[in-house]
Amino acid sequence: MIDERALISRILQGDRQAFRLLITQHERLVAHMVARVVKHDEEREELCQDVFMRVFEKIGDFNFQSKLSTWIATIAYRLAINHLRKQKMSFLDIPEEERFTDLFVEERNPAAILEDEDSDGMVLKLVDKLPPQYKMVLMLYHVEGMRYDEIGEITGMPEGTVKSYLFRARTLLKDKVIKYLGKEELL
Amino acid sequence: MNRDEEKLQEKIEANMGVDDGHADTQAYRQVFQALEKPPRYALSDAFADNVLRKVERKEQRSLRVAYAWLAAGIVLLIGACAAVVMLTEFTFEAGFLRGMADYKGLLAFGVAFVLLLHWVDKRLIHRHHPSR
Repeated sequence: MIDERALISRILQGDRQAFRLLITQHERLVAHMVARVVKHDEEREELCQDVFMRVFEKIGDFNFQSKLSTWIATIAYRLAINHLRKQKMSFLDIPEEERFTDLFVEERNPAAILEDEDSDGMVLKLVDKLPPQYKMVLMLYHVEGMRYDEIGEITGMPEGTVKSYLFRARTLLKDKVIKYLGKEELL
Repeated sequence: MNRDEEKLQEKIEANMGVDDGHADTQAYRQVFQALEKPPRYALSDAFADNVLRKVERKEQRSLRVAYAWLAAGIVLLIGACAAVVMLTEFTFEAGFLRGMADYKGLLAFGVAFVLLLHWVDKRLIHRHHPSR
């Protein structure tokens, strides 16, 4: 596998095949990040294209202080959040009160969440209801296997905040799973 | 953060011994298992081609804009020269060229230096900023 420095050097010399290689190496990561927060497929593809356009424009500024994937993920995170801001999506934090956390998950019709879904599908439906920053942190940690410091670099959050987001989101999801399935069902 | 909940999460994540007869443990296991699933979305097969096409289009557009600015600059320069000639009633006096004939080497150096600067600009500046 070609190393990052050689790949970037080739891209800077105008080698389009090198840039194609960079895209194929990182498109899965970018697609996962965008797919977690954007619902419509056309918007997702468009946004992923914008991410790699920005990568191409800024590749000369990459200073090898982090992994290339972390740097690309940072661009994807910023563009995805800006996209959501343009759509006036709220960026609420999850306050501690249970009363408020209930607002994130539809409780009036739990059957809609449970319907035709296995337990994984049910949890992922609940994840969809979380604020975008939480979804991103969960995805980067659990799907991409990134470390707290890498996620912090991508999202601009301190490591402690990343840990807190993970902990709170998982606790909230666990409580909802117990609420929907019932303790007896789980045991 | 609730320290007990945090410890339980850490233990389940690390696959350390926990009480499986507890609803919290089972619920956490379901949550962790689901969270590891990637989103059900894949980009189109032509994704990389589409990005490269967009890059090409953007570069061509930038080039067209640069040529448009160059053309506008040339037109403005000619216009400004014409205006100056008319306003100052300037007449062309070629006598100074005879004086310059004594400095052929200096003139040649000047031209070569400008060409060298252009070459360095292409090799270094553009290499670091491929989109320009």
